[in-house]
Amino acid sequence: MATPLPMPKLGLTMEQGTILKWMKPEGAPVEKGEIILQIQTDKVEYEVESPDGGVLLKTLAGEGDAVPCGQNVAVIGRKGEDVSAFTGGAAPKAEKPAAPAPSRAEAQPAAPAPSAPVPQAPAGAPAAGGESAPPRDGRVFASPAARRVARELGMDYRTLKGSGPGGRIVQADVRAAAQSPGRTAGAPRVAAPPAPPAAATGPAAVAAKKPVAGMRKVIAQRMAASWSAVPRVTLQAEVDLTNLLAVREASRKAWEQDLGVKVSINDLILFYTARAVRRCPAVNVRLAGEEIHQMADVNLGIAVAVENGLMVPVIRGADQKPIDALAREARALAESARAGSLPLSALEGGTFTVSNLGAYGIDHFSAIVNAPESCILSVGAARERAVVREGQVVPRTTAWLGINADHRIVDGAPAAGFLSTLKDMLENPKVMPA
Amino acid sequence: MREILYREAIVEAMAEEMERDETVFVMGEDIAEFGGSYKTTVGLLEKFGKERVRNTPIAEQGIVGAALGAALMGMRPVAELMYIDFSAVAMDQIVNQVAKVRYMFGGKAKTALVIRTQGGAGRSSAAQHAQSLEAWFVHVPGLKVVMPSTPRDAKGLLKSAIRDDDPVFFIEHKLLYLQKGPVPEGDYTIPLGVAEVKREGRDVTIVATSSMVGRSLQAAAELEKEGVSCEVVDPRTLFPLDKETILASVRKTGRLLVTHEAVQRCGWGAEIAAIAAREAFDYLDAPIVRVCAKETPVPFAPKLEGHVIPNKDDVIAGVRTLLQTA
Repeated sequence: MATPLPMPKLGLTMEQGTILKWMKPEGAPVEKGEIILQIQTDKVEYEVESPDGGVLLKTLAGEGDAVPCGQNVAVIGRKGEDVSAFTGGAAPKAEKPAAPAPSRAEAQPAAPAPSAPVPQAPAGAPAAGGESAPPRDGRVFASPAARRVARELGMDYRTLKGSGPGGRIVQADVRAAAQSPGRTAGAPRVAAPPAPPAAATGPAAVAAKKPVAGMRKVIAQRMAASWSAVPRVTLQAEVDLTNLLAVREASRKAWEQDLGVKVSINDLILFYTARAVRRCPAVNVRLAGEEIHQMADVNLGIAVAVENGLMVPVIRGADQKPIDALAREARALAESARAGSLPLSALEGGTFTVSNLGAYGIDHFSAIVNAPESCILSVGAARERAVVREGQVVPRTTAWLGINADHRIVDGAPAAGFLSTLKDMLENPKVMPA
Repeated sequence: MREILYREAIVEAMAEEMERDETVFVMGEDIAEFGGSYKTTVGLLEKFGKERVRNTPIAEQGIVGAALGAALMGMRPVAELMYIDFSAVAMDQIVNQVAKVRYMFGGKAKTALVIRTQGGAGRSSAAQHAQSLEAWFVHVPGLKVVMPSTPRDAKGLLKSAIRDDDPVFFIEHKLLYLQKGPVPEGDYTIPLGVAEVKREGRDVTIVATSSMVGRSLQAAAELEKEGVSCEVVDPRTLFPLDKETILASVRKTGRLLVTHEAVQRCGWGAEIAAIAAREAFDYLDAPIVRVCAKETPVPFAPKLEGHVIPNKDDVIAGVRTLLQTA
């Protein structure tokens, strides 16, 4: 019995992987556990081991191909064995299917993603591994669950492309279509605004084209999904950091000499944010289907700009860590993110995200909630500003902090409570970071 | 909590109930001095004497008939059938007498007996000593049917079975006898008709009893590494059946897999599938999958036996079928 090698699913949000490189040609002998393939997900590169020993009978996808998780990319077996059963693309009923277990210690995701992470072809893409079955006699095949969800969302599922077996429309297809921009099915059609008159010199010239792929695609999808699904409430507050800077100045030498760590103002903001989240559990929640999950830990995501994109590595149990450990970890994560060497485990399990654009001189901004989390904190630049204190205009160093919250589960008052708690902690730093 | 073997949990349940209620007694082949062919009655003779720990001839019809008579006279017999395969010999007593008496006497007769037996494959016991025949009994109105998967469940459910005024058919598994697990000391019961979610999950519901619970949990642990999250639900009693726990899980995951060691056709998995198809229809995102034994007598040869009886990999393959994309 030949063994198929499916595209592994390396994380809750992974839907497809791209074949980077076949380490073995077709026909080559392979050992069980030997690395035969390099793939790239939207986050990392990963080496895939052979699930069995024998011969690499057939590769079902070429380098550069994007393949949905669970779809077979190769067949391993005895020389001369028939592989026709596996060339249809669907995961077969193999005797011993076994995707290679990721060798990295994978952190358990802190909470279920809101929608079932079923391997699926991207909505609207042709069904993977062959043609989707054309509707017979005009019949469209959809699972009962897909029909129900379409009913609930007021959508017409018959227009969708199914990713299930034989082109069956499944629940995930309906949900994906509901979240895709430009959804018009079932919604009242809005007349498009009249196009502006074209310039006399013709359309604007395009300098370069590149596909929306890999990380960019994931960012695009997740931001669009968050923006269309999450009703945000946005709160901003100016925070006086003068005292915090004084604390940093006073402790800087000790931190550097005794602990060997440079602590930035951002590290201190992370330190107090984690503790404010612990104190205000109302902002440490997730919406999971019909349930609200109160998260047990404070796992702080830190938004890091990387070449051509954005990553959010996670500091787990951030409220339990002393300032030196936090500063070290934040630095290490940011460096790994920029180097592209973050393990998957570092990207999972966040419960609350912080985004700081102070380094770009931005005063205040509104960040997009990193679903399935419910809140994101935006941090602007710390500057000397004229502040009125006791009737006098005095120079103080302040920064604008903002929180964007998913108003379905976090109301304005608890979001405000959190922001004022954090403001109070930062303005009167009592918990001496040690 | 202390850990004991499944078979020790069975002994403990009987000993505690015999201590508590003098109408409880045990009977069966080789259960007294020998302690039972699967060591499930060890020490009972020493504790309670020959009057309450009774060896019987090799005569299953007689064992069940005598137990029924004792129950009608107000006793609470726990009768052991050495193999579920031998229940065929006692079928007239079980189906036409034990299951019917309370009903036909308008509820005036009490038939508080337990028939303990063990089934399942995995020890090369061959075709006449390795069957999974639970569906026969679930199909008979008037019988309660229990299939515990852990030592803790075995003790708590057996105590409930002994205290129940209806006849209970209690099916243990020969491979589970040597399985260790945490079991509370002293008196506790697990009610009949209450399922337990043995593992929470999001993507697929696996309904399993007896030996298939452990195999399903192993499958779930492997699939978790790929980001596939399985919920494992153990009905624990096939009748009365806790439909609501199963349906709640199916409504959550949208996908159902039922697995048992019995052959697929007309197995109790079909009943679960039919209930889900009717009562959770709008939540199903894929056709229901069953993972069962192949349709053949259980082979004697270990390799063949392993091929016929479903294992962890078969469960994994079944889950993959459920998650299959086009």
